[in-house]
Amino acid sequence: MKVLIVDDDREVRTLGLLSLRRAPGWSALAAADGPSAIELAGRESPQAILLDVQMPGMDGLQTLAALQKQASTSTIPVVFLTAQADDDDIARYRQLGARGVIRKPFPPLQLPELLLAALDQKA
Amino acid sequence: MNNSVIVVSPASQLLGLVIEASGEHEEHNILVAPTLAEGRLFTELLAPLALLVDAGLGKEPQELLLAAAHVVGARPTILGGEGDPQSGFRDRIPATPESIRASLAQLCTYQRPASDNDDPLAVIRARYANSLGQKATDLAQRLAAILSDPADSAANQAAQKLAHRFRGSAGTYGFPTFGEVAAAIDNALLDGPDPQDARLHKAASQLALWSTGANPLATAWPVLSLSGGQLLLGELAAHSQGLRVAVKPERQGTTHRGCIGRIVEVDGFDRATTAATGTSETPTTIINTTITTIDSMDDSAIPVDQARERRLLVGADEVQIAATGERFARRALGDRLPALIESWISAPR
Repeated sequence: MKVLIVDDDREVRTLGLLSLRRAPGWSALAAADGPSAIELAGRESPQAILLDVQMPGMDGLQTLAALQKQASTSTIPVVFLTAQADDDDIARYRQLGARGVIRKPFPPLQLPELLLAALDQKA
Repeated sequence: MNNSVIVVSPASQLLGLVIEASGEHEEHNILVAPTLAEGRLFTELLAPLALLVDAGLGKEPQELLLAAAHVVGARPTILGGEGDPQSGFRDRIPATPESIRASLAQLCTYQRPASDNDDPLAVIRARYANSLGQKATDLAQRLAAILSDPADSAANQAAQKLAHRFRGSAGTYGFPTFGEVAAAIDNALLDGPDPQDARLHKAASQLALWSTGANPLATAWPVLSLSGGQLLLGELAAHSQGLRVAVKPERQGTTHRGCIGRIVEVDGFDRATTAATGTSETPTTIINTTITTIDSMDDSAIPVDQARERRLLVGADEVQIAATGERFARRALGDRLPALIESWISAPR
C-alpha cells in the first residue's frame, strides 16, 4: 500500500510517515500543502491519500476537488485527517467524495489500521 | 536533568506540608498543582522527576495523572492515605512532615527509567516533549495578545492557527492535556474572539506559567516569604502557582534571594490605630511569634523603604494590605492575591 499524507504540520507528517512505513508492505510519502499534494499524487499514483482539512492557502476541501478534476488522481481514495469535525462535517465530507475521516489526535502506531478501516467503510 | 517535583492536591494543608518539607531540599523545585487539569498539564510540559498525587483524589483522576507520569517517566507517588499504594503507583508517602522530608531526600537518588528501545516513536516523541515548553509559551503569548486586543484579526488568526496545530499534534504525540487546552482555545476563537469568554480565560490561567518563559523552573522565580502555618502556606502556593512566584516558609535567619514580599499570619488587628490617617493598622499578635518579631524581621532581601510596603497581614477572617491599610475578607484572598503579587513584581526595586 502506497499512501500520500498531506498536512501543513511537519510534526504530524513525521509521525504519519513513521507509522505508515512501519506496516509491512507499506510505503508513504508526504506533502505540506494542497498544490504539492496534487503534483505528487499525479506523479506517484498513491493508493490512498490522507488529507488534512484545515491548511493555509488551498485547504483540504479545495485539494480534494482539484484531485477529483485531475484524470490521473480522480479515482484515488481520499481520507480526511481532521482535529475538528462534528457528525455534520463528516457527512458533508463524505458527500464531497471523501472515503472516510480520521480524527486527530489519533493513536500513532495504529494509523495503518485506522486508514484501512476508513477505506473499508464505503468500499 | 529536571529535578522538579509536582504535587497535585486540592488540600491546602497537604500542599503546605510538602512546601514546608521541601524547604530543606533546595535541590528540588516543587510546583503545586491544585487541580487535576493543572497537574496533568504541568506533568506533560515539565517532565518532573516525581509526581505526588493526593490520596484523596478519586480513582479516575489518579489514573489520568498516572498516565501523564508514565509518558514523561516521572515517579508516580501517592501522598497520604494508608496501606499499599494504588495499582501503578510506586510508593505511598504518609502525610507527615517527617515522612515527606525523608521521601524528598530519597528522590534525590531516583533514576528515571531508561527509554524503551522497542518504542519506535521514542526519539520523535522526546523531540516533541522537549519543545512543549516553548509551544506553551508561544500559545500563551498569542492568547495574551488577543485578550488585550480582541479586534486584532491578524493576532486572532495567528493564535487560532497555532492552537489548531497543537490540538492536532499534541495528543497524537502522547500529550493529551496540552492538546485539550489548545482545543479549547481553537473552539473559542472559531466562535469569534470574546475577551469575556470563560474558555479563553481558563486556558490563559492554565498557560500562565509559560507566558514569560519556556520552563518556569529553569529560571529564578520571585519569592514570597511566609510566616505562618501550613494551611496558609498551601493556600498561597495554590493561588500563586500560575504567577511565577515561589512560596517559601520564613525561617529565622534565612534570607530568600529575589524576595518580592512577605506574607505574615496574624491572629487579629488592633482596632484602635489611626484609621483616619489612612496608615496601616498594626497586627496585635503574630502566630507563633510576637509583634516585636515582625518589626525586627530580616527584610534584607527587599530595599528598606519597600520592606513595609510589600507585606500582607493575614488574619483568621480578614486580610490587610500593609501599604494601604485596606482590608478584605480572607475568603477573597485567592481573588486578590494575583493582582497584588503582580504589583509587587512589577514595582521598581
